[in-house]
Amino acid sequence: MEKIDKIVFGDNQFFGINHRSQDKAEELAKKFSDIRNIIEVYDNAFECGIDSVMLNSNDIAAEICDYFRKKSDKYGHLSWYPSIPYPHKYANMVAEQGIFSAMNEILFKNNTTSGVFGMIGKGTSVVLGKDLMKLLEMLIDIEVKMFKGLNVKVIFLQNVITDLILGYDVKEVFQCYCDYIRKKYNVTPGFITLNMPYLKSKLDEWKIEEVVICSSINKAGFNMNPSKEEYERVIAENNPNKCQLMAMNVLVSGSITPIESFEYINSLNLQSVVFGASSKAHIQGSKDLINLK
Amino acid sequence: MKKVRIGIIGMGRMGLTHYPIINTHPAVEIISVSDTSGTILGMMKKYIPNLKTYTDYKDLLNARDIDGVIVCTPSFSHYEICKIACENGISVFCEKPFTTSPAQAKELSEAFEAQGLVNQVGYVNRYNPVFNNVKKLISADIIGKLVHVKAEFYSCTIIKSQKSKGWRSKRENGGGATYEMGAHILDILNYILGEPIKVYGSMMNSIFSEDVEDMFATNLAYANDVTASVFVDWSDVTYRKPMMKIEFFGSKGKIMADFYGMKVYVDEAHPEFNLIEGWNTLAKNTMPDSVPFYVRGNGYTHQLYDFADAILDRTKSVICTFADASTTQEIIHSVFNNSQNL
Repeated sequence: MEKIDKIVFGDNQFFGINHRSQDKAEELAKKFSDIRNIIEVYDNAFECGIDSVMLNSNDIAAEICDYFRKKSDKYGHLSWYPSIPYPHKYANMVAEQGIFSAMNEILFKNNTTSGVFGMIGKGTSVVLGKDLMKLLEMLIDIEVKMFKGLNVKVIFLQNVITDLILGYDVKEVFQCYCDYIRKKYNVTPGFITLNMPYLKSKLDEWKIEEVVICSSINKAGFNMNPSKEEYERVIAENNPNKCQLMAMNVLVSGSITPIESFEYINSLNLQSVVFGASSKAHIQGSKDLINLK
Repeated sequence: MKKVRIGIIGMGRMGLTHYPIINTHPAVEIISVSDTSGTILGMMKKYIPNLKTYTDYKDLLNARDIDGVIVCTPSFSHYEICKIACENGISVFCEKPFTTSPAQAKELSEAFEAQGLVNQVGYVNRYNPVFNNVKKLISADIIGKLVHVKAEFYSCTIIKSQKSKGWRSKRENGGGATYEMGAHILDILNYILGEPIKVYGSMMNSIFSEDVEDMFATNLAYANDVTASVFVDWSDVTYRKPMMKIEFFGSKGKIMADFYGMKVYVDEAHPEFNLIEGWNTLAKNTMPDSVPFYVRGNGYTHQLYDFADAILDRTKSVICTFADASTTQEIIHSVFNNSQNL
């Protein structure tokens, strides 16, 4: 399978996500509410020699994509690693309106095509039951739309969704996602998960190969379920020609020093690492410490 | 291996989350689900052929082929469902808020205990290691005599005008910021501080909802001259994710806790708790807390695995029994009863 980039620049810092401090997260969210501050950080990352970007499909991401798309002469060489969907949007809509009404709004707001949409709108919800996979494909299209025209390498399914459907133990959903991402977008399907060993064993059981799995991998064992030891075992046994592994949450939002963090990551059989930082010094510092096998 | 046979009633947001979690428990077999929506059931049946599906929960319970049931329907229906489960000798994990009346909550608690059935309510924050750390430090009087607690809970759940529709639009059905969100913070206070002796000076207001409150404030008084003030707002656009902030003021220090960590100020070192004199920062991600299978938060897995494990081995206990949730129910209703507006 096509090799993915070894170093990918992440987006958590832009969107008020900090696993260590909510105050820090709020402070950063305020700073990055102005997209110019986001672009500045990206430019810093690119100057440090990183040219791959992971981005979750939230509303700000759409603006970011627009910016880079318009300046393709300068940024055309970048590789993109989108993750879909932005789960909080769905969670809040479901809380407000209930699941079917939320689905309706999501499907209608973004699409004018008829067919299946019209039937759902008329309340023929049987369509949903009969064709869950069609619905999944439609939702993928809606979320992927903002990345159109960018050089996309992998489309990741965001961890809240991956882990939710993983527990249902239904092969068809994972098969459908992978087949559709390959067929329609001609890119590698990926999964973000907080249950990497479990997901890996299921994908093996279902004979789903040539995918990328991105998961929390860090010296502290944070968000590594069921255990750090189990992760280390699965990573050691993995064949990167069939499944590439990407580490996220490597720095645990600053809980471990970068030197310790990357020493640990470099010692493992990993193909890629995604990390985020706001200052150029931190970006360069981390990048210089990454030396995957 | 002995199997625990589980049913799930209500495949809405919580049912859809609980299913994949409990489905990964090695000793659990999910036998049946029920929902009033044939669409959801049809979808599940198509991809999980062995699953029994019912549109009427009574049929699920009366089939008597399960050991435990997870109840994820709107709160107003919990009482009837739990009662029938109890009559059939089925242990219950019930979503929060437990009921819509303190009397019903108490009755269920007594009935389940009398039958020796596992009974648990999904106040998931009781499993957050941060709040458990707080509870430990408060019990050990680390910050001296506790004087006051300031508790706040914010989210951007309801941020546009709500048409009156569905059970969420009526308080008697379990809707509104107090039941749906406030219940969590009132329960955490109940968990850490115990039962208050008085609930007073409550107020409520709506911002976007027509018939229920979007925010409320209340005061609680405890034995030993401890007081607490609570503010809950689920229409706050400045929070991307729900955020609970609780501060504990003591004669010798202070604890500030949220979902992600805590800051502790103590006027002397406490090596037994790893605390130095002055400020200490403890991030949640440094508190070891792995789960066998993660969906949306470690607490969701801990609580459901506890439920299944307690059914397998009755000597094991669960956090947040019906009795615990009954106390929280009483606090919630005190807030309603002395509220000045709306």
